[in-house]
Amino acid sequence: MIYYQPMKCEICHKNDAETVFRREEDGKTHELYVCRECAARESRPRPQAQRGARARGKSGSRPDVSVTISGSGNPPPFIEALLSATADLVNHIAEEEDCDLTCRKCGTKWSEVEEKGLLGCPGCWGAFAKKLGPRLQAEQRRVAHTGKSPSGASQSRKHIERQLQDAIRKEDYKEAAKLRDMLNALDAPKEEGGK
Amino acid sequence: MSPSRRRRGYADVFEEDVRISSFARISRNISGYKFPGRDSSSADAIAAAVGEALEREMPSAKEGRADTACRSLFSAPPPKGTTVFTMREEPVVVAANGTDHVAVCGIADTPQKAYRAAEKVEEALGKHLSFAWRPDIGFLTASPSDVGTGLKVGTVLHLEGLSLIGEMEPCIRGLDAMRMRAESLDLAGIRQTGHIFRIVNAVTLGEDEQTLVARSARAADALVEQETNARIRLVEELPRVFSDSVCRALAILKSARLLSAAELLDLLSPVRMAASMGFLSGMTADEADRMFMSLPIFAPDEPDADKRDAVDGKRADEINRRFARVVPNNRFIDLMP
Repeated sequence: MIYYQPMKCEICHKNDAETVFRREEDGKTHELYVCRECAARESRPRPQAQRGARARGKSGSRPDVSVTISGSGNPPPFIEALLSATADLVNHIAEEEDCDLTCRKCGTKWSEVEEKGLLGCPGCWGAFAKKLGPRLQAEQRRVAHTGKSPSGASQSRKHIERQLQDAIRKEDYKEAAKLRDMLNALDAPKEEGGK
Repeated sequence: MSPSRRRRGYADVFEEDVRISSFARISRNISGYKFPGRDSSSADAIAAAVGEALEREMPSAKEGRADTACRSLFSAPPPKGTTVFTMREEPVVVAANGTDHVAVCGIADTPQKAYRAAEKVEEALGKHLSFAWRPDIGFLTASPSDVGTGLKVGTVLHLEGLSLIGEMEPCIRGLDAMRMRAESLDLAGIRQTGHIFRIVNAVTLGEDEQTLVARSARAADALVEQETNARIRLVEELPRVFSDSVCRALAILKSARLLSAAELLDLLSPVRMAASMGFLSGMTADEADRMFMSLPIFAPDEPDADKRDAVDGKRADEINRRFARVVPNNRFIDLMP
C-alpha cells in the first residue's frame, strides 16, 4: 500500500477526497474521487465501493490506494524501481516525521531525546509515549509502576482504584480498561519476594 | 576472629575489604518545571525550594560539597550548576539540579541502610515539594532508565581476585539474569580501572523499592562471596598469578617517573588486596586502603601537556618514596612454588 499526497475532491476541489465512485460505462471504468460532503449531496446511487478505496475517517487523511499490476510475469524493472524508490521516500518521510515529534510543553524534539538520552520535562512522557513504550517494554521489568507514590508508601493501588471508579462513573471505558490492566499488573505474582 | 574474616591455609580474606560502600539514589522532579538539562533558568528557584524543605525537616542540612560521598562511591562529582546539601542526622547527600531536580543519595555499609536513610529524607522533602508522578509509570525522571521508583541501589565492590582469575565475565552475565548491572570505571583508556565495580539495579519500573533493595543486597552478597573464594583460590591454586600481579605493580610503583591518578588506582588495586590479606611489609592494610580511596581520579585533565607531566611526575616521585620500603613479607615469599 502506498500513500500519496491527499487528493482533492473532484467536485468541490476544496476538501480532501475520502470516497471513490466507480462506474462501468461502455466497457470502461470511470472513477470519481469526492469528499464526504459531496458524496452525501450527490443523489446518484452509490456504486459498489472497493474496500481499498474506503474513507479513512479523519479530515486530511488519504484514501487508500491499491496498486495492481495485471498481466503475466513480473512487472518491468523500471516499474519495480519506481515503486521501490517511492516506498523509500515514504519511509524516509515517516522517519523525519518521527524525528520532528515535539513535546508541546517544553519544545524538546524526539531526535534530541535520542541523541542525549534525556527528556525535557514531565510532559515529554506523554508526548513521546509511543516511542518510549517499546523502549520501556524492552528495558524494564514491567511497564506498570508498583512502588511508592508521592503521598507515601503503598498509596499507588488506592490511587488507581479511585481513578478506575471515576472512569467508570464517567463511562470512559477505554481509560477504565487501562486502569484495570494496571491493577492486574499489580496483582501479578512476583518472581521474587517483595516486602 | 571477625565473622566476616575467612582463613584458609595462607589466606586471610576480609569481606569488608571487598565491600567498599553501598548507596541508594532516589531521583525526583518537581511538577511544573522543565528538567534541569532543558532549562537552567529555574535552577535557583528549585535549589531554594529544596533548601527550604530540608531546613524545615532536617535542621542540620546545609549547602556543602559531595567530595566525600563521591570518593566513597568512586563516582564523578555532580555536574556544574548542581547545589549539594549535606546533613548531620543522616548519611545522605541531596543534589538539586543534577540530571533531575532532586537526587537523594544515601550512603551506608549495606543497601538496606542506605535506602532507609535516603527514603527518610525523600519522604521529608515530599511533604513540601510536589513530585512529578503518574500512576501508570510512577515518578517521572529525565532519563527513561530511572522512571518508576526512580531508585538506583547498589554496592561498590573491589573485585581484584575475580578479575585476576578471569571470572568477571560470567559474574556479569549472572548479574544480567538478576536484572542487575556491573558498572566499571574506565579511566584514561584503562578498562575496568582498579577493578572497582558498582553493582546496581538495571530496572526501576515494575518492581517496588523493597524488592529492588533486597535483590541488590543479594547480588552484592553473592559477589562478595565469589570474590573471597577467588582470593583464596589465587593464593592456594594460582600463587604465581597472584604474586606476579602484586610484584609487577610494586615494581612500577617504586620506579615509575610519571603516574596519572587513574594508572595509580589501577596499580594500587593488587597492592590493596595483598596488603589486606597480610602479605606486605612496610604498608598496612589501612594505609593502602586510604591511598586507594583518596585518589583524584575525576579531577579535570590539565590541558597543557607540560603541566600535566609536572603533576604526574610529582605524584610518581611521592609514590616512589612511599613504596621504596614496601616489600612482600615472608608469608608472601612462602607462597611461591
